[in-house]
Parts: sequence; structure tokens; C-alpha cells
Amino acid sequence: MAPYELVICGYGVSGRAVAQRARALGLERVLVVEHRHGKPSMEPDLPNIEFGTTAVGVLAGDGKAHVVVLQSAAGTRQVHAKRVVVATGAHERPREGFEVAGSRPAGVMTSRLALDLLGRGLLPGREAVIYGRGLRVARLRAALLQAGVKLVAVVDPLRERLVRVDGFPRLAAVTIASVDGARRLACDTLVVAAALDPAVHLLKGSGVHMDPTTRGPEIDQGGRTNIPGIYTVGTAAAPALDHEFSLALAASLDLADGCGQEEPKAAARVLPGNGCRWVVPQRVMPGHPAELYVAASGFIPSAARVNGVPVRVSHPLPENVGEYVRVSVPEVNGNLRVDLEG
Amino acid sequence: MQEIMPHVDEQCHWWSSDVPPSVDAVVIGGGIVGTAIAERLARHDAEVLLVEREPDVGEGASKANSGIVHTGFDARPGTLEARLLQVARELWPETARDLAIPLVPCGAVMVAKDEAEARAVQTSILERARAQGVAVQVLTRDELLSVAPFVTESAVGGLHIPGEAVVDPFWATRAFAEAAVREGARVSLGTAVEGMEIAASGRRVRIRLFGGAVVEAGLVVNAAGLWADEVAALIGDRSFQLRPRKGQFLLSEDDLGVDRIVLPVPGESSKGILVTPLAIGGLLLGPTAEDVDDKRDVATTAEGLERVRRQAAALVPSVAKAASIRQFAGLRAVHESGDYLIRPASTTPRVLHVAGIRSTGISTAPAIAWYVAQWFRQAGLLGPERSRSATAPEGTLENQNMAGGEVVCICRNVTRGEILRALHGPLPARTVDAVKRRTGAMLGECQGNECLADILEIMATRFGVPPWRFCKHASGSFVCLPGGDHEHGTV
Repeated sequence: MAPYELVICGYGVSGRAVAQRARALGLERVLVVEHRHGKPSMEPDLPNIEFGTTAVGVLAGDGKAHVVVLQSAAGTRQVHAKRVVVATGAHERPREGFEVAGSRPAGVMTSRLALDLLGRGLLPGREAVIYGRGLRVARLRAALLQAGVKLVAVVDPLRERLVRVDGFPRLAAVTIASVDGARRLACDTLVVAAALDPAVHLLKGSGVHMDPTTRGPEIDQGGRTNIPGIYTVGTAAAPALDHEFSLALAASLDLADGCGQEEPKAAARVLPGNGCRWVVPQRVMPGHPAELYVAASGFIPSAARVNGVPVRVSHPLPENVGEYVRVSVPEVNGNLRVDLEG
Repeated sequence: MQEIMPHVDEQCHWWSSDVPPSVDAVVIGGGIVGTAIAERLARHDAEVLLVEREPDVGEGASKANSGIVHTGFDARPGTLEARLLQVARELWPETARDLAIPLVPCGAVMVAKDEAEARAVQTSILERARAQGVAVQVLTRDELLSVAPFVTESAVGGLHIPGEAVVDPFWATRAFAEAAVREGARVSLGTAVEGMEIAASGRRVRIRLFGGAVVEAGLVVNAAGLWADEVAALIGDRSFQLRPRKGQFLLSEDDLGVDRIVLPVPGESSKGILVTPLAIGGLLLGPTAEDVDDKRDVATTAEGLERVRRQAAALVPSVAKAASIRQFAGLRAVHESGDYLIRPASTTPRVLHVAGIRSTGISTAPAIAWYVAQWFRQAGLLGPERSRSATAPEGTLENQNMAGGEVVCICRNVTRGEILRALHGPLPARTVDAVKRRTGAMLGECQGNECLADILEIMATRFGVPPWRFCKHASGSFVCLPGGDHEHGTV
């Protein structure tokens, strides 16, 4: 069987956008795999979407095609693809990912789990503290209040830090610290919605270079990883809490190349400087303008410099101004260093 | 606005424990030591009952340690611990083979950071290794960095201990417990011991259990970990005290190329903070060694975690920036002698204490089991050993990920079939953490937040129990409550 022109791993916000682009580009033999269960697409001409199928591995091919290892109720199988787009998204970083000291009781979760339980008619607890911000926190607040869960506090990670968890076997209190001191909040439920980590376990051992600051693959402005024919889009590449950059990344995906082809040399490196947690893309083309997607480290930036020169900064979600900003570089002349100011 | 339905019963013990009224031997405590003892005694054709207070085996120190099977090269000569480490070196390979426990012989390097430490390695540490009969090789700085390039360049030399190995402590504890059941033992979880007395005949011990059941036995093994002194007091023996010594750990899944255990030159009271590759993948930093007052204080502290990272980075610099996906702490059960305390109760020879097993419990579990069996044999209270009746079923690593079925835990690639398997078998998982330890699900980066709701549903279907009755670990650790639409109260 001939390899697929394109396999898209994930049918969320980004996977769907890429699938529509693939259709617009006239690519045939496209396969989309999605871990969650769902209904077959109602739209005609959209590629073949397999729900309940998880991409568990990618083996980079050296010539004609890459291999994607798939796992589903039917078992394990492999498919071959000239191009693989990793649109697997990101999971919320749990309390443990923030290295918060204290006990390890029941009652500590991410907003994904809290909403999952609420969606199944279950309550995550009785008295909740939310540690997070943004649109997902607004959604969570509404769902908790509707279910009758008492909201003890919503703590903004850009203002205060979660430093300790207490209570066993069930959560009893959390400690929050800021420049003004520490406070202890009695609660039986803690919901953490403060950061995302790319869900790219499938790339372990694939040879795709990872960026330790995003914990996801390094990409250039066309979404290419270091391996020709393997791309990453969405929060798997730029893990911004409310998908601030996902549609832009899907729109700028450059699917011209495939496995085995020479990738264009996006030779300039982009490095996070002062006040930056991460910057995507990590490589850009010299001689062209560049849109950079930046996460600040713990504050809301109002200004940016690239190689010391002030540049335009915009907040992608004006209704939810936060730590994720777009930085516009008129022309790339060499390696770029981005610094942010509050 | 909806009202929250009052949760009538938060007790997570939804299963019934069938305890026989009379057995040959009761083992108190389902850690790796208790389960290994139960498996051994069952093979002497004793009717064995293992009682464990928590809802699963291995909920104490057995789940919070570095998983190292020590050779005992640094054990204090003349101690019972040192002797049992020697015995264990013979027993572990066949135990691992028979019970299909993955035992990874990765070896270890000890790192000397200055001349004083290098001298200690070449003298006292080398002597001790020789006394214990453990093969070691002194390394120059170049040799150390050649075999372990991830070690700090400021090292001046070291020691290679090729016989050190790692095992997954969750897997091992569960394997001993399941093997015990296969050999005919009974295991009663969520069953604390509340009272003990010597029967009038002097030949039986009567044990009163949580829930009111009473069981009589000819032999009792007190393997209750940190609580062995309190269990001893139930039978009138107040001759020893155990104190908790906390060890904090950081776990990372970053690939730093660390392929063997990295040890510092040890201090007075502990082996120090190590860098240890895990048998199932990942890297463990720790433990600290902090004497605490409370036997339930397993909280991590910001100061302790910082110290772990700093001292681990002194051995392997790349861990300074490693992302940690989990931090935890366990408590060692320490007797003031610093040695194991394995001796009969002062009030009856029918109760044998197995206490103060600190630092090397994983390493010596099969040897302790042998020792306990020998003890009872020599006292004329136990029949001869027979070989294991059936080797473990195909639970090896190679087909763990090949099971058919859809993926439930993405981080760890655990399928529905594997989760179902954990909910069946001789010792089915009944809590969330029991599923975690048997399958590896929820151990990855997201720590179960993406898949827990699905797993609760699978458990609810399998046991016919609503999801809010399941605990995370200890009794009272409910993970959710019934919503307004659900019927509340008992099942």
C-alpha cells in the first residue's frame, strides 16, 4: 500500500485546522487519528478520521516514508506517511509538575480532571481553590458553581504562587505566597490550571529535537521539526494556556516538503532572554519577517526587545490579557534574542 | 442552585474481607517484607493469613524508596543486616526469575569528590566490601568519567560496584503478594490488627481485627513496618521503639544518559543522596535522611527538595535543570541499634518481630523470609519447604505494551486490557493507587489527570460499585463525590 500523503495525529483545534488546509491543498490519502472517541465527520471531503486511535510512536524514515505506530481497540498497527503532523496538544501541568511541597492527598487535580468528573455527573469535592487563570478557569468556575461546589478562592499564578499542600488522606488546605506574605486556605479540592506541557510522548526515541523550555519539539516558522516531513502545530509546539497561537501555527504550516527531502535552511536561532519562559518558533528564515510567540515567566509583558531593539508586542486575546504575547520582527538578520518587560 | 448531597459513607472499604477463624500463621503487614514472608511460609505448607491495614499491599515504605537491591558492600560488619544482605545476594536472582520480577543489574559507581573521600574509598570502604564478599573496583578519575561520563568532572576518583541492581518495588511487592496467594495464602486488605492475646493453652495467639473478626494462629510474624513496636505492645512487649526517618525524593523522566546508580561516599547514618535509574524508566534523586516525630509525616518540604536537587547535582550536574514530574517521601523504620531487630516477643515465642528494617528492606526481603522460616523450623513450629508450585504467569515487560485494546493512559501507553487485568487476578487492585502501581498508569507526566475519570469508570463497571466509593490510597481518600443526579448513600 502506498504511504499516506499526510497523517495528522490529533483532531483538536489544531488537527482540525490542518485537516481543512490539507483539503484546501488538494492532498489525497490523508489520515487523521484521534485518541478520544467521537462521531465520524459530518463534513464531506474531510479526510478519513479514526477516533479511538492513539498514535503511540513515530519512527523517522530515511527515504520514502515515516512510520506512525497506532494503538486502538483492535490492537497495534503501523502506517506509512510522507508527512506527519503532530497535533496532539498538551496536558495541563499537574501540581507535581510545579514541585509544590507537602502531602499527596486525594483532592488535588487539574481542570481537565475536574471538568471530566463534572461531565460525568460527579463532584470533584466540596470546597475548591482554583490555582490558574484564563478562559479555562472561567469555564471551570462556571461548572463548579453550577454543580454547587463552594469556591473558596481563585488564585492567579501571575500574582501569587502555590507553595504547599496539606492534609491526608484528603486535602485540607493549601498555602499561597506572594511578596506580601503567605496565606493558608482551607479547602478539600485544589484545581490547578496554570500551565500546559506538550503531549508528545509519541516522539520519544524518534530523533525529533526537543526544546527543554517548551518541553515540546523545536520548530521553524513553517512548523517543521529537524526531521524533514515531521511537523508540529498547536499547543504541542507552543503550549499557551488558552490556545493563543494555535490557529496561527496551523495557518503557517508549510507542507511542501516530505520525508527524505531537503528542508529549507531556517538558519537563524531564536532564544528566550530576560523575562521569557519560551519562544516559538525556535528557528526562523533570515531575510524575512517573523512572528514570534512568547511566554513570559510569571508576569504580563507590555514591551519587548529583539536583539536590544524595541519591537511591537500584542496580546492575542485582548479579553484575557496574560503572559502569552506575539512579537513581530520586521526582518530577521541573524540569531534573535527576545527580552520581555512588564 | 443545586445542593450538594451529603456523602453518607466516606469509608472506602467497600469489599468484604473473609477472614478464616483459625490458621497456622498470621503475617501482620503487607509491605515487601511481609509479603515475601507470607509467600515463603505458604511454601512450607502452612495456612497463612496476611493482614494489611491499608487497602493495598505496599502502602508504607515499600512504595517510597529507591528500588535498589544493594549488594551490601557498605554494610556494617557483624550486623544481622549485613548477614542477610549476603544471603539475599544468592536468593534475589532465583526469586526474580521465579516470580517474573524485572531485576536490572545496572551496577553502581561511588563518586569521591575530594582526596579525603578518595582515601576513604581506598581504605575503609574497600575493606568493608571485601569483608562482605562483594566484588568492587577502585576507579581513577579518568576511569570513572569513562564509564560514567555523566558524573561531575570535579570527581577525583571512585568505586565501581557491578553487582548493584534496581527493581521496581511496586512490581516486587505485588509479585510476592500474588505468589503468596498462588501458594495458598489468604490476604486480607483494609484489615488492621486491634488486639492480640495469648490463648490459655499458650500454643495459640488470638488476634482481633478491625471490623470485629477474630483469628487464631500458632505463629504470628510482626512485619508491621513503622508500627511494629505498637503491634508488639498489643502482646505486652514494650521492649523496643521505632522512630521514623524521612527520605524525600524527586523523580524525573528526562533522558540524561544515567545508566547506573550514582552514590556519594556515605555519611554516618545514611547512604546519602543518590541518582538512581528506575527499573521501568526514569531517574530518581534522593533520599534525604531526616529524623521526624510523626509516623504519618510523609510530606515533602521545599527545603528538603532543594537539598535533594543540589546534592544530586553535585554528583551528576545535568540533574540541576531536570524537570521533575513527581516528588514524594517515605519513612524508614529505625531502631536505635541501627540494625534489624528480628526476635521473638518477650511475652511469647509464638510471635516473631521483624522490625527496624531500614534502608535495605527491598534488598533483603527474600533473605528475611528465609530467616523467618528457618527460625520457625528450628523451633519445631514449621514443616519443610517445597519449591514454588507454579511460576508466575506471563506478566513480563515484553508483552505489557502489546496487549490489545485502546489506550487509556496516554503518558504511559497503558491499555484498557492492562487495566482490566489489574482489576482481576489473585490480588485485584481496589484503589486508584493500586491500579497505578500494578499497571504504571497515572505515573507519567500528567500524573493521572487525563485518564483518572476513565479509570474510575472501568473500576465501577468491573466491581459494580459507584465511582465515589473508590479511594486514592488510604481509607478516607475519596477521589470524587456523587453529583446531584446520583443516588447517594450505600451501594
